[in-house]
Amino acid sequence: MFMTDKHPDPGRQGSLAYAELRDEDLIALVQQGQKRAYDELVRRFKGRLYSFILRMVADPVEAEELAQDTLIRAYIHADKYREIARFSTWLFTIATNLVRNRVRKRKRTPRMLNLDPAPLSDDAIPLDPPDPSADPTIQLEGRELGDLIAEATSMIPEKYRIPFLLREVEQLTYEEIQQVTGLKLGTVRSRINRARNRFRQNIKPLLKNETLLVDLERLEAQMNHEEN
Amino acid sequence: MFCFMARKLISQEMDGVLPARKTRALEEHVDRCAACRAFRTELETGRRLLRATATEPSEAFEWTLQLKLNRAMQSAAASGAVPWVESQGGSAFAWLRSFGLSSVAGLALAAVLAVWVLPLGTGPLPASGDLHLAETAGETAASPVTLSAGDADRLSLSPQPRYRLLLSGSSGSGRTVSGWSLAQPNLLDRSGWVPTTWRGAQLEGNEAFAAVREENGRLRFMLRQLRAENDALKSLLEGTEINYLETEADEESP
Repeated sequence: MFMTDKHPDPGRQGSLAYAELRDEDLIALVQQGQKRAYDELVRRFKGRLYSFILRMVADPVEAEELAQDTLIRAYIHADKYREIARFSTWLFTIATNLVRNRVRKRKRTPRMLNLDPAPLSDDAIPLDPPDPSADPTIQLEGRELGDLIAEATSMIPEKYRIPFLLREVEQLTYEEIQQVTGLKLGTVRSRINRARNRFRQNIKPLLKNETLLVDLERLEAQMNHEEN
Repeated sequence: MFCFMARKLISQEMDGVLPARKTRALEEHVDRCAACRAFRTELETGRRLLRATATEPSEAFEWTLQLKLNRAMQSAAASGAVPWVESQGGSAFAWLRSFGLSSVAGLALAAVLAVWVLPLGTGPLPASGDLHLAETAGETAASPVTLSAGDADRLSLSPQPRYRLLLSGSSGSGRTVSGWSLAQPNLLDRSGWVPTTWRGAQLEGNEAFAAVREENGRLRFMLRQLRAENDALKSLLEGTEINYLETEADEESP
């Protein structure tokens, strides 16, 4: 396969050129056998994939394993990608399928009992119920904010959690989430809405903490600094 | 607008999919309703928290991935499942690297063995057979000639075309044996192309091969002597200050 003007060869210009390419251009170069383009894709997506999967499986080792499996599948089946969808959509479709398979497998072999399961129906939850655990004095000390958020996320049922995370964290559009999950557009919208409400309920004690916003701003500043 | 309706629309508004008309109605409601305002703030804070607490994988992630990828590619290649081939790129001799130096060395050794050893090897010689001469250039002279040990020292010093010798015959056990070797015709017969008959059985103990090696040694010795003479003549010429090696180009140069 030859290089085309559409997908120029950045290998001759150094690794910086790869960083300037779109994900779709990079996967086209991977299809042409350029390993460095794949390395750049790994660099871009490893964190996002890991974070998404970790919030689905709640196990760092398992999350890392699934993120790697996702990237390996993307490499081996790179030729199957067509630019009818964004590369990120395609990649998260692979990840979502792997996560679903893993969760299904886990359900077949349950390891522990959840004594405080999330309610099965959203209708059972009042719009703005009283929060018995709401303690404004709750301190974040001793527990990382990330752990608290992870716990709050894990309490959202899986079927709501996938479109919710794809929207809130990965910022996929409704149409892209529809492609990833195979759900109808209306279902995607309602599931995101329900998951948001659930998540809000789950973090409500945290929201009453006075230092939360300070911590959050510090985290956001740190994140922006790392990105730049 | 009721609160439960407003809270559904807030979610869509956050995703930027709420039509303009509904957005205006929602804004009007939120301005009036403190609970819905707080609701929206909480949803937005939740989103910020999710994005800010994204975690990174371990430092070993990439090399573990590389290891897994290598394994996956190997198994995919073994099953023929890899749908595309990674181009080597770069050097035109990249294939040689992947082929492996040891393989190249092995092939070279096999070629040397095939040319020099196998046809006149130390294995059992044919009990009887004919030696055919065929010029390398393609002209075939498939006439059997007789080789005797006495002819071995008749190798001419003048350049001679090389010939391929096809040795063919049958072994004592009845199996057909054949092979090619390189030789000069006057090793076989000084007078040229006199067709005679040769029997493989006469090469007992590889006498002919030993004779060739002996002749080769003798020629090398002669060559060394000629070189020494040549050097002596050169030094003599330098002493007479006559430069016989001057060329036209040398004369024209400033």
